Amino acid sequence: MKASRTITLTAAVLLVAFMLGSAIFLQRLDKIRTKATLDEVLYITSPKALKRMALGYDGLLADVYWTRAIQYFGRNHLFETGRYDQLAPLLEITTTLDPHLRVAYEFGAFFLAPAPPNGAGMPDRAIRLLEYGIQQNPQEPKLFYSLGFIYYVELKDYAKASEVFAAGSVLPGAHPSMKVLAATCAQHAGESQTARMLWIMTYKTFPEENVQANALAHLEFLWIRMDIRSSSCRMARFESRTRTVFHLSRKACRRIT
Amino acid sequence: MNARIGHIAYNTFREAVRDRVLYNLIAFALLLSGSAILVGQISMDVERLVVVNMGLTAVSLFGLVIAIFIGIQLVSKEIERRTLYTVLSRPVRRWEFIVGKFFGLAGTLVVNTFFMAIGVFGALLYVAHKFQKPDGWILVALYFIVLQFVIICAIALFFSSFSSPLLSAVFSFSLFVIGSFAEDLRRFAAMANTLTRWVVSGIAYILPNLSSLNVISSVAHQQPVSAQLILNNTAYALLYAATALCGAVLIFERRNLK
Repeated sequence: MKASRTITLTAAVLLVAFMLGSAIFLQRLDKIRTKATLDEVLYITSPKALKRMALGYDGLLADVYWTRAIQYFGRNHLFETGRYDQLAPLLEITTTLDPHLRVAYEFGAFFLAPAPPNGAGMPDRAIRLLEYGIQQNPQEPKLFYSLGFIYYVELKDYAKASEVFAAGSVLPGAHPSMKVLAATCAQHAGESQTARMLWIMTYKTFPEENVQANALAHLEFLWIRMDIRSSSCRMARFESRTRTVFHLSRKACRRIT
Repeated sequence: MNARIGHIAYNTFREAVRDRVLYNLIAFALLLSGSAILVGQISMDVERLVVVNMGLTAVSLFGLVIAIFIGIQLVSKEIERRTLYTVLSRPVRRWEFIVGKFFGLAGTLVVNTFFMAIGVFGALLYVAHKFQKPDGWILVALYFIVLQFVIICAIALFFSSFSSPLLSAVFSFSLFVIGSFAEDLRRFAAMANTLTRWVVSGIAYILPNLSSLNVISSVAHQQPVSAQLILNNTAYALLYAATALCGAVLIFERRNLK
């Protein structure tokens, strides 16, 4: 065997051996430093600074940060660490870099809002994210839907949820069910007038019989509730008016006896 | 275009396409476009977006590197090899030499962009399985990228007409970076007082405005590009490149080549 061939063969074998050795040690290092991952660190926290540094390639950087946000949430969710400190900043950076990245607002808000272990338990940050999304994309009904959903499910703020659903339901491309949701939330919030108006609108808008029947049932319920309320009011008024007469007659009876 | 410019442009193109570095850069750009498919898979609901963003960014950045690194060598290499004297000893004017070099490099960049664009569309087809009508706007983004190359190419040639290759590369790249901040510069000028406003506005007009030529993000979202923007960007890029080219001709005409 020629000397040069021996060297080539030895170098090739050593290359493979060293590569394997380094891989083994890297695995060991990963085991030692379980929590020391680079993903936990945000070197540049200012979204505006990052946008400047992107030199116009902010779309790609937004995709990278969106991927980081997903990986971050996915990993912490999987290992149930309960730590989501970087999630909101990652999403804010993503949406500042690309304000039209609808998916980041929608999914990001649903990562942020629910209480742990399902989410980060930051509904206020989720609302802020979606409000920014709506500000940047005012014609996007899905963002209104997501925001209304968080008010409805997470915060139980039915009045606000109804307001948001109603605002989104009039946009082009909005799912018709947003009207139903707006009416349901208004009803939950005790805003009978608004609920009645929204259910009437739902009844008129939807051609489907089952939706119309549902709207009609809610309207009947609201009318019955209104009747009960007005009857109760009348009874109370009657009682307050007759109470003095009743007391005076009782006093007179006692004196006589 | 006269025949002499055509010959110089053709030879510059031939010389550039023989450069192995060029093929490596194109290969890297294609690799990056291909890797967008993998990145899209580890992300969520943005596969198409990643392919367009990453593909067009790769075309733009690698094209920029090609434009700068070939552009800065165009004149210096000819002086170093002493082939410039052979060319100029023939009935070729100095300005024809510069203009020919510019067209040669611009042609090389157009051909490179064409091949890199095939890679982008290939990756897009793999991810989306079919093309949609708004994907046509990607062609507009590619056209704007070519216009960027034309500007950068002229700037690189301008610097290489009087400076060393290394300094030319630094200057050209710096101008690209500053050009990306052009709108910020104008905003700053609007906020400043009279004298500063005049000075900063003047600088903003002298420096290239590359930010308006970047529509990658909006095209990735399938947003249309207005015909007015296309027209104005074309006019601006051609006029700016022509200005830089005139500057290069002026300097090169007076340069002592002895």
